[in-house]
Amino acid sequence: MVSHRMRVLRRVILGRRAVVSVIIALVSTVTVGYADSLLGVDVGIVPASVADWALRVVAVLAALQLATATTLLAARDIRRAFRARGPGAREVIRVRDQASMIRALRSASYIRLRRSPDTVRYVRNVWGYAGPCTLHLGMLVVMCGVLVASLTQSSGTFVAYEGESIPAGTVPASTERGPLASPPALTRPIMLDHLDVTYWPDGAPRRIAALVTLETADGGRELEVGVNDPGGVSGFRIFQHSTFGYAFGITVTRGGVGERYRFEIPVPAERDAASYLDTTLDSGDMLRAKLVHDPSTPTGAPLLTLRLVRGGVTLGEAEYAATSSAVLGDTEVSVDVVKRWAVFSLQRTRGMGLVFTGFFLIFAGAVLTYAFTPREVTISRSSAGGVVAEWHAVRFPLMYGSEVAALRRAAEADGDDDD
Amino acid sequence: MTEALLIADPLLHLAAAACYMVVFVLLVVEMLLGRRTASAAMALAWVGTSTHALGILARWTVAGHGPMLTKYENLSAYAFVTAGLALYLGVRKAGLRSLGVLLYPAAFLMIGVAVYTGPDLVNLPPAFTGVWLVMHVCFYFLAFGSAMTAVSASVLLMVRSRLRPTVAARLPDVDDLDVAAYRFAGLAFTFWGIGMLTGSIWAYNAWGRYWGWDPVETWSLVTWLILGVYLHLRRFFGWDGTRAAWLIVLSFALALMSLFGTTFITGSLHGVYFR
Repeated sequence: MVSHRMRVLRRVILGRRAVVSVIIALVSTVTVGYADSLLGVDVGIVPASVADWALRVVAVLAALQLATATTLLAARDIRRAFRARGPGAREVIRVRDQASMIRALRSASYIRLRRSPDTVRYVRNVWGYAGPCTLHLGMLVVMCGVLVASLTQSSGTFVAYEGESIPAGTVPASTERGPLASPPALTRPIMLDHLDVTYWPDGAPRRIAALVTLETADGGRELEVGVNDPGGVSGFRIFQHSTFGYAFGITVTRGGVGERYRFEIPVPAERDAASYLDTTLDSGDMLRAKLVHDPSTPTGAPLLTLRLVRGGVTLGEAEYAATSSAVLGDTEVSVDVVKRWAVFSLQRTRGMGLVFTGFFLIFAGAVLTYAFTPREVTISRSSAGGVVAEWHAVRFPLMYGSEVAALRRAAEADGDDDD
Repeated sequence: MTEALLIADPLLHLAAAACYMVVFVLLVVEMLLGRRTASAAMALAWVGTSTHALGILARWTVAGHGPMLTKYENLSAYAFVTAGLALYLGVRKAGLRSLGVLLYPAAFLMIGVAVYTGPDLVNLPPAFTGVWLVMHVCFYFLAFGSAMTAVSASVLLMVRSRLRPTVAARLPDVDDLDVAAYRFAGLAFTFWGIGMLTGSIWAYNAWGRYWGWDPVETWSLVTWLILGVYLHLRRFFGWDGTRAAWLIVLSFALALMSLFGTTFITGSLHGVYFR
């Protein structure tokens, strides 16, 4: 009864139609999710949360199938490895010289696994039996890792300015989190000490790294993070983005009244390019800013140009290589502070360990499946009294024609020389 | 030295392409006319692949990084893996040597497009570092080469019955072609999957997310799943022969879309590698 139920369960979960249906469902949800991300959430085919949940549900179904398949494959592979004889073959090799045949088997790396009075079983690449099972186990582990990460991941981005501390408890802007995750709040104060950017000769950034200080009860702990080189702190990981720039503290004085502004301008992508920022002042004038790299410095120091425009007429324009002041028409515009800023992500993710492990399992499974196909030879006495060998390849038997031919030649060799 | 290598790089690529074209002609002559030209073809294939490798090395030395940026570098690497697999089959699996009649022209075409787009050097962006990126790129090269081999076997399988019996007799059996397509599709599925995984680990380090519904990522996942459908249809539904061959052709079209097409029709974070 139990066996019957298991068979039914297996048929439902691992039936041919069930397997293909789940794969097609995965393709469909991925395609819908893609279309949704292309069109945008607001006018999407389905809301993003629905697409996320649909993918999770299908992933659970796929994981269930993979778990069942892996268990069944493991049982099958163990049975195959230790069975008394192979499943037979269409072509049976008649063995005239058993000693020559065994020598050929040994030289081809076949090892003897089972022996009884009537049969001897040799196997080449016995570890290859575990290939499909390991491959499916790897996919299962990855699927579990993806599910755990999708449910528990929380992340958000924040902008840090050189020398300014961000207090503990700050929740980064534009946060994303899974249904089981808590908001990614900073667990301790953090400060950007220094941003280190090096450039290629053509002016494109080569390396972007930051030194940040995590303030603790006993002082501070310095941590270096960079693009593609995240750092870890209190269960979170900090990622450095490629976006960075300068924050200019600007005072605009007109008629003895000063107004303070902070211009945050990203560094242009290339050295001979420029970034622009137009800001309407409280007075109604427009202050147009242009930022380029100073080509005379190897690290690309900022060169800011400010132009004051009133009613479409330019009143004045000045360049600021550092903190300085200039009069633009009837207005004094001074750059008081120049700081660098950089964008970081704060993220807590569980499940990436499973993804890593799954990667190695898939790799191992693939190698075992494709490079170590097991081949079996069962030598036994035929009913007619002679000795026969049955060769069997677990996968791709047509690929081993030359090996079978060599064994056949050895088996059918004239044994007189050995006598 | 740098100037010399910069000049040598495209010349070596063109020389390799010329070798591949001659290899193709020799293989076609053997297939159609029955002349014994295979040995000469394989010798020339060695020369072509070695020249190609020298071209890649020359560029690597000048650029300071492996072939992973720009159309030129990527197409050259894909062509190299394709030609390398054709050479392997020609030398170690003589029965499948005739797959070269499709693999070598493909390599020739890819080098041609690569040279046409120009061998300008581009520096690596800050995110393009780390062992995971190297593995990601290498496994996609292998996946493409395997898929290319599988589709070549499938195409030969489909056209075999339309050829003159004398010509068809010089091609591998339908069963051999079918098994080769199945096996290389399995390899492509595996390499593609590992490529996606290593890519997701690299993306996690570089951008703080392992999956972002980026067009290239999504098309890549769809390609992988279709390859999975192919393998399961063969395994469980007994698909083989022409029917399975058409599915491989579809999978390969998706692979081309993932690797090359997506960056042309939509903005992608991955577009930087194929600018």
